[in-house]
Amino acid sequence: MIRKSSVSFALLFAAITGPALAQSMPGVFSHEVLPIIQEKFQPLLERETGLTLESWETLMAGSDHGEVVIPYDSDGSLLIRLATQLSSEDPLSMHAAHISEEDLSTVRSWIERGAPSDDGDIAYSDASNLLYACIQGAAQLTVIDMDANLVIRTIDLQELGFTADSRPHHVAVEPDGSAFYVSLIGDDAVLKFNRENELIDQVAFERPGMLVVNPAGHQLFVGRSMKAVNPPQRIGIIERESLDLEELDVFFPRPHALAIDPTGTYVYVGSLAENRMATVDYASESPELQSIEGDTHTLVQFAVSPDGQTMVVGGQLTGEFFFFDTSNPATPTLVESIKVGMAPWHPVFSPDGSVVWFGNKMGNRATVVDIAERAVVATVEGLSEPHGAAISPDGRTVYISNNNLNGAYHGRYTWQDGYLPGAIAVIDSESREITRMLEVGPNPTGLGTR
Amino acid sequence: MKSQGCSKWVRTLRASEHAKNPFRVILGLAAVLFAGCATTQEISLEAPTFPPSYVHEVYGIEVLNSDGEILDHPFHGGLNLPRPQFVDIDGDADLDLFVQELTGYVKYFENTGSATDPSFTWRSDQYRNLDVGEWYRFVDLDQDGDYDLMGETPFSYVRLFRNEGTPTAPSFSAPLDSLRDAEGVPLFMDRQNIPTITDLDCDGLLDLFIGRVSGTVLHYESIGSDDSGLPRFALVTNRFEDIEIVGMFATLHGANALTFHDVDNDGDEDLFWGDFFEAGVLLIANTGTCADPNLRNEPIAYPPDDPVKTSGYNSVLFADLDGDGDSELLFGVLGGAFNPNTSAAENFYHLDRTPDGYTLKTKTLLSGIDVGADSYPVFADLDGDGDQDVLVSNKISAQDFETGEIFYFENISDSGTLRWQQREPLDIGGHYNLAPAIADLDADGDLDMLVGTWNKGSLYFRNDGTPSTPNFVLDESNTVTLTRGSNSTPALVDIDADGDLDLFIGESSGDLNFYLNNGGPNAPKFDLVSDKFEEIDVGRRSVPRFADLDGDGDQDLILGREADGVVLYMNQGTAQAPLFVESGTLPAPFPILAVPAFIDIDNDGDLDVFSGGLGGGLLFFRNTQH
Repeated sequence: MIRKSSVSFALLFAAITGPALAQSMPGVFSHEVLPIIQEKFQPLLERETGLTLESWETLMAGSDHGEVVIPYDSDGSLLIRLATQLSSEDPLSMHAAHISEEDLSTVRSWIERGAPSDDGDIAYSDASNLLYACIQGAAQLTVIDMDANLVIRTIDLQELGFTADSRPHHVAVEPDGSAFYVSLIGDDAVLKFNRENELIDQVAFERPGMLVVNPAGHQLFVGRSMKAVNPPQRIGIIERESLDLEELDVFFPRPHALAIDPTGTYVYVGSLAENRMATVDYASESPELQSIEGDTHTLVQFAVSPDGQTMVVGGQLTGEFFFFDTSNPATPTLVESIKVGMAPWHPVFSPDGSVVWFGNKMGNRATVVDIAERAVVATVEGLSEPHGAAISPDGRTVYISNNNLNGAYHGRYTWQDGYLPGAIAVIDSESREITRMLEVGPNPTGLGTR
Repeated sequence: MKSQGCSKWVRTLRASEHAKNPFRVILGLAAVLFAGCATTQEISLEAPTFPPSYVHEVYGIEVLNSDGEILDHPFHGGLNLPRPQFVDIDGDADLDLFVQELTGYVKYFENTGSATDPSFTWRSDQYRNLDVGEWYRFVDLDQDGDYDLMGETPFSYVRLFRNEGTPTAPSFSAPLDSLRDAEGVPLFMDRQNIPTITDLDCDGLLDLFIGRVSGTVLHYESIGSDDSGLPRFALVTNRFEDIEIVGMFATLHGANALTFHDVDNDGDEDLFWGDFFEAGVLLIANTGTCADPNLRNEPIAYPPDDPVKTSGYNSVLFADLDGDGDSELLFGVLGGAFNPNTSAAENFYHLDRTPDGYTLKTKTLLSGIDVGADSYPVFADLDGDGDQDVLVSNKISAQDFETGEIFYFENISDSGTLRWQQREPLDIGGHYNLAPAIADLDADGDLDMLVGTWNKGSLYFRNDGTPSTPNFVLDESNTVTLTRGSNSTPALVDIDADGDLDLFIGESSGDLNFYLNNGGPNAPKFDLVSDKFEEIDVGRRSVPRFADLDGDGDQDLILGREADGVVLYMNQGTAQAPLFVESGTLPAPFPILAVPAFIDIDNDGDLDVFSGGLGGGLLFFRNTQH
């Protein structure tokens, strides 16, 4: 079922959101757009199993592989990309030649208006469970409806005045979903968007990296990325309402890994350059340092269990995965480490806290670790440089972004100029099978959901 | 606790008011007086003797290391992440040295020796005042026979300073617009990746190579200049020779520095790669020819028979410094994934080429006082011989990652020659960012210490030894802790001239804490008066120091801080009732994390300044008023 908003609802906000809502153009889809798609585009869509072109609803529901139309984003919509960007090596490209410029323009124009139904409805306008993905290679953010498992919106940062190399890296979402924050490691800024995907504020921050929202307070914490010879050895503390920024010295170089305990009292920070982490009571501006034994691990990212009792972090260089007892959040205690394979990246806990998921960046797979057993209980193959991880509120679906810079994920199409799309793997958490790979822009990185 | 609005001790009048309109200072004072602050003192309306005049001297005092060897550049300020390049910038047929330590700054050391026996003399901390951003490369970009200078335009684009002078008398233009590709799009290169330029394929056109975080290399080639004379580059490939540097695990989150050099003298240039995730230096040999290079070869650790190993992210270069016809291996250690603390002091390697390979000559090509990072100097007569020795503490030891260290340089000057020699470090540790303040706190005739730390407050070390042979013993009962924050930096001063020492402590937030000694000269009891003393906030990392800078018999307040110099608060009250007036900054180029220490080192009647800083060394600013 397609969730949608009515034209009247859309028009109510049209003055605010500009092109984000449709103009009422009764019958345009059925009379002008759908016939073109059915006649001219259908041959291009033969690999989109499960897709039927009977109606606006079925078109917007997409195929077994994901969406074919992204409202307001014609360049990113598969429908248009198939018609314009297929490599000549792909056998389907011959069908693209049969689509006239006029037909292409008609469909493009319809998508840019939000791909409305005949009644002016815009698909997925009322989606509630949203996943935000940073598309680092294209200065974009992708919005995914976690109920439909489709890409439903694209936010083009260049259209908002940021550079092509702004490199959105990580995203954090308000607990109520009312806003989200994005770090731009290329443009040295942290952005704030509202739920309607409007940029509402920003703050300059040198080399921002990971983000974490205080669930019990009003701060956003920011770590540092790699993008400097010697970035400041401080984390940022941003008031989420005003975006007022303060910085707090955490002693060690390249503070990257970042998490907060559920009570919102202690922030945990890990270094990329030495085996050290800090537990920061930010209210008293008092970090406590802690060393981790062994070879250089390079701590990538923390995750804290929903009950706050356990924290985990992976070591990029050693493939070790560390378990901390955080029953006393002021003094996380390392209780065990296990080998989990190459480059464990961003971990995420299941809602019940029983398992944690993460991608092995250089292993092209996802790993599932049982928290009680402190052991790897499953792996999921078929990924390509997995990076960010998120999980749906009901715990049924795991999402892992795939940089795919090495092309291990081939996709269904061959694109011009050897273009390698990124992908968001959608994984059934029960069967631990990839149910679909949502193709997105190049080099997707951080994921965020409320 | 906030300071009271009308403190008995001090008043602060804003420097901006003072500087722009001295009458406003008077009016401001009048307002304070009429507000009922009976103890406030009248300020002197006489013209101050300020500002003093300082000259940065890298030399001037002979400093010996613990082995008795003379440090060549004792007061260069220390290096943490040197990015060196050797260039004959003045056309005198020997190689001069440039080193970038900080964003925007390239140090210049002129070779005042010869092509076979170089001697580098510091000339500037920012060559020609050129802001190079995060990286730099001297290269004859317009191929007119002299060196131009490339650097970064924040963030991650390329700026060019064209040399409009001559090979012997360079003169650099204002920074030109970003270099662009054939389509006019500015070239983007991640600022942490240091590119290199050479004519790799011997076709007379410069090739530009940019390492990427993915481990691949972008290759551009010059296609001439645009209408404004700016060189243009066309992208040749975004996967040069299909190079992809991948370590044992991942390297896909890093930084790198590239350079080409014909290391095997076969007429073509080989590629050297330093990387955040690589402790050594990687060589990708060119097995082709100059006209037809082939670098599709496995990277190997270099030198192959004894690979170098550091904390990683090594910026490599080759130079024939001794004029013997072969090139020596040099590199700066920027510090990568393998604990940069280990290379905070020893990070400029020089390996001499021999028939059998390489021989390590030094890890500190520019030897100077360098205790690692966050150097913190303080003067005191530690050996009771009547002269002032210097302690220089650091953030963290290069060997023991659980403590900082306090290094001791004994003053061994003799008549006419200022000389220090490094001795054994003090046996005080267990904490980071040690920040000693030294005074006789128990009136027993020897010097005790209050040592600030990263996050454990200020620790009292009582001297249970003698004035000449101190024995510092921790007295935990007298630890002074901050109400919040970290990086305690104590300063002891009798601020009210009542015969005992009071206490000010700076901190990470840039605020200032004031404690009054209610105990007395032999049993200090420091009671907190304010943890935001007079609302002074210097940004970050405040370091209070006191000195009578204007010779009026009272103590002025000087505050080191993270950036933008050292702040002055002139005491325009009296020794008994100070009135601190914000009075601008000291006129000297203080480093990041400035920690000033005042002493009349040359006994000429005015106070000179030494400063610690991020680089881990000392800067010496001689007061030239007298």
